[in-house]
Amino acid sequence: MTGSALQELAASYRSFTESGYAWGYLDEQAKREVRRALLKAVCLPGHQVPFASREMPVARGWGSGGLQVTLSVVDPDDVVKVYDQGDDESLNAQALRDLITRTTGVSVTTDARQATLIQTRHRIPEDELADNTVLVLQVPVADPLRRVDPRPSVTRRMHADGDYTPVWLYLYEDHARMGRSSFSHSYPCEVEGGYVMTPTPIPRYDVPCLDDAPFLALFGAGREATVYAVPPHTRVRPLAFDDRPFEREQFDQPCHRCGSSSTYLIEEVIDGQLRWACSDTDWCRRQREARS
Amino acid sequence: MYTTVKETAGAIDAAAELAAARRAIATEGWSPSAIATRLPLLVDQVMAEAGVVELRVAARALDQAAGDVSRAVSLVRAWAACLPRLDHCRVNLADLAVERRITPAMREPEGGQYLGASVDYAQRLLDLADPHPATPSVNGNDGTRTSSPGGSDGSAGAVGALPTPFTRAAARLEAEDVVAPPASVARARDRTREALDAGAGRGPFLQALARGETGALTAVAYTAVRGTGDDSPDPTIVELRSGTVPVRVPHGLTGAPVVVGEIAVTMVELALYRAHGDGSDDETASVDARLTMGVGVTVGRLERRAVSAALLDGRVARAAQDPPNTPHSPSDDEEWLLIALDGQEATGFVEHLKLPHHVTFTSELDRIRAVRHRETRLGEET
Repeated sequence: MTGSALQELAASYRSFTESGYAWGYLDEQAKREVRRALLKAVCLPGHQVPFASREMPVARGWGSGGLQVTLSVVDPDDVVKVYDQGDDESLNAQALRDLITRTTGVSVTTDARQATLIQTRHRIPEDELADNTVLVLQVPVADPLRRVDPRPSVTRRMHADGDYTPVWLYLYEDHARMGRSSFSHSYPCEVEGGYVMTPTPIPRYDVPCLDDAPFLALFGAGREATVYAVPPHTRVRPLAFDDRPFEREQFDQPCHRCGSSSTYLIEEVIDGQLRWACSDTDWCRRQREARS
Repeated sequence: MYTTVKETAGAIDAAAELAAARRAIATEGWSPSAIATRLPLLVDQVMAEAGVVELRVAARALDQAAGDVSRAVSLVRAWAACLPRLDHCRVNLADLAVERRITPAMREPEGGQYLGASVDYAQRLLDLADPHPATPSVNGNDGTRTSSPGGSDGSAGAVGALPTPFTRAAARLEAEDVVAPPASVARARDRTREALDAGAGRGPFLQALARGETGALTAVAYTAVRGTGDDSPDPTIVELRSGTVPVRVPHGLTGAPVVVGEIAVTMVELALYRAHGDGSDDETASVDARLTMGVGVTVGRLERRAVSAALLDGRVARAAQDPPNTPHSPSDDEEWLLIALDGQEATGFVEHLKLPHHVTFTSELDRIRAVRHRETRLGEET
């Protein structure tokens, strides 16, 4: 080991011992591990790249993968947005944001247009994102073939062979039995004519946003120790038969808060009445403010 | 050489004393009441797995068992088995004094959400500063009965019971008929007092789930979430609520209901989504496009117990809708679950392998040697 490398190691160790944790929480070795996996993921869009997932200060399944990706790519100049199910105030988002800011000191925003790094659970912002945006998506189940075979040893081979017949068959059975697809969220997509990937549990509504998107989408699955990526301007096509088109969620009425009829809505009960409201709370707030 | 040690040598007592002496050094200054105060969730686990709500007994058992939960449960169950069953009563979950209520399936449910005492969203950073802080730290686990106000992040907390009586969040889904009715309505039967096999009904099955070993419940439920082969339905918790529920028995003379105590419980209602079909090969088989509900209840505040139980109840209910001979994973199989989930049956039998087995082992060696000898003879003949 060279002298400068030793000094670098010593410096990082000092900063670790002084604050208790390294800048960006993870040690440099861990960050390098994740970054290498991410570089490979960007080169092979939609391909699941294994990495040595670390134990994080959040439980497995609570965003540990997204957090490792975020903390590995975050830059001191980044403006970070963290939101969960479209809601910046959600407790999980607050807890993750707190960890990110406390260990990095980066500035935060709720406005997706201002953010350079967005960690999200299950939504893509309603805003048009700039081309310097990095979107980090938390992934619970990384393998789109899990539904047809639970064994990674088998599905890895199917991915390598490009053998996606079982998923197509599954889709065919759906149409034969119900007249429509039963895939709700996590709709399987073909990436750049190659790998089939699961676009996390984003709703079907968000899937077209990934197609030819200007932003870089990084997917982190901590429990499953996998990352994958969709680089900017990549083709992302939901699997569908020519005569049975892909269907997004349908809403019969506009958002009762902002009146939008072009966003993903969720149900809420207000004074005993069932209403529909934007899932993206910050977008909805800005629409209302612009109007008043 | 334990095989040569006879009871007259006092070996059983000597070994137990040796274990107790080790423990005395490690737990100096601890008492059952300190355990109940310091480690309320551990005591909850013992009470839930034992199926006996008696705080002091559970804490004492944990102390006597040197922290071995399985042994503590064994102590409590063996103690309770000798007690007479005086009466049975139904607790009404509508009487639950709710201290925490969350609805992951809904952002704004009727009645609102109350985080209560929870460390769900507190970061898991080990606090090395002071092992026994006077007041619970931000990341400390305050799981005591008289919970401090608010969640650990200070939001939407509640002191004691919440004032509003809540409508079940699932009620609206049921009214809309997007939820399949349960496979069978539960009728209470006590599997500790009746010999009951699988198929004895949902009541004893729910009892087995409520008394299931925490790790086993979690592991099997995990396989069901992660996906294990068949077309795993996607679970969503509709509602989790916890609090205390009064136990009422009829008065001996007047017959009027009298509250004799209250128990802390956590209950979960969970919806399973699966619309692909019934698992049969018939691609034209019709689909019941409804969610399946699962219910899980546990004594105490160890919420993963109730979540796991609800998931497994839902899985079994969902599988019951399938045609006969549909292949299922273990998490869907009532009979398999009844075998695997009881911690006492499992730990007892696994650990019984430590008993001397030389008699049966000799019998096995006899067969191995006989077959090998025959093969050798046959080899010589050819």
